[in-house]
Amino acid sequence: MTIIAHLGDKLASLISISAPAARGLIKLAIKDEFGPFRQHPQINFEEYKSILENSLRKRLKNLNVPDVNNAINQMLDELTLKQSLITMEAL
Amino acid sequence: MTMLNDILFIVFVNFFGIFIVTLLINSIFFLIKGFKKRMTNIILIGFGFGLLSIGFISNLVFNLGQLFQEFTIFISFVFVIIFTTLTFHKNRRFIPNIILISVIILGIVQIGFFIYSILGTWTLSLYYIRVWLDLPYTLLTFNWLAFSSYSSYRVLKSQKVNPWIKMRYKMVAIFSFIFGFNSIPEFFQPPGTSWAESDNIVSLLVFGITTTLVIVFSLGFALAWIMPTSFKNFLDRNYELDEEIEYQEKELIELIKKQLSQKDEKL
Repeated sequence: MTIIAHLGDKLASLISISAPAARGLIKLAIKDEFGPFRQHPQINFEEYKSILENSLRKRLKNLNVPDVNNAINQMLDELTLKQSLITMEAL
Repeated sequence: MTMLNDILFIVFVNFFGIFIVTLLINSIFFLIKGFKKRMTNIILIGFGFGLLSIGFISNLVFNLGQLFQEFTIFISFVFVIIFTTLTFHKNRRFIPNIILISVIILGIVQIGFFIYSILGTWTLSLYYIRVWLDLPYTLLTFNWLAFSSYSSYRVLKSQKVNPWIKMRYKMVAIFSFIFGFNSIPEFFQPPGTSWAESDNIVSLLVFGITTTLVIVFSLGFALAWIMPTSFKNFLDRNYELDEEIEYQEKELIELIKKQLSQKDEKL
């Protein structure tokens, strides 16, 4: 859950919502991409990237968040910076 | 002196045996977890460690020769580099590629030296050239992993991450750093002696220092990755988890809309 927490915190600071709400939005984006049965430890870097670029982008647009592209790019930078957490917390 | 030599030899051989067994345990653990969690990087390091131990066993137990051992070392070093790239450097291409290409070239050069030692005339100068080139080969492979783990740790050390995860970063960095230097003792191998010659104290000490470095690495690396739950709990004893609120989708969307409109009002 650590990587989701970090992505959630980043999203919260970018669009000024609470951290629990931002984490919830990321979990919804994961559900949009892979359905309800895919567990977080089975998601790899490319899949997180695709979640941010596709379903999270759509979710943010539907919420009328301004400058979605910038937010997504910053989220992708955060994912790249902290990518090792995906492996380090998985075992 | 002979008795001391014999005792040291037995101790160091046991160290080496423990190193190989620990590598195999690491390998099996990584392969099981990697396939279960569908993680390519973990599968690759599992194969890498497995090959490394097979290489040593095949040479020392089944006498298949140093060339086969060197080949397995080459493949496993390449797998360690790919593991480092896939774990720490996805989306960053330039430096990881340079390191991978350098290690492949240095590995091929090492294999070339071993082929020449069988087919050609082996000299002391060639030995030292090989050893000098073995140093960057090992240093690049394991210190790149150490550096990558330490750099990631530095990013995360003041952030909210479970202490056991931070400890894993530190352990991977420290033990890989130590392993990076395991080729240095080769410089002190007395000319005309074979590796681990029990009646030559210098050769024996070279073997001893090497086995000590590799056993520290393999046990430390095993503890870092096959970390017992009790140890994780001990490290996390003062760590407070953030409160997790589970929202229904509709409730969450309404909440976010409200928070976004509150932000707009403030502006």
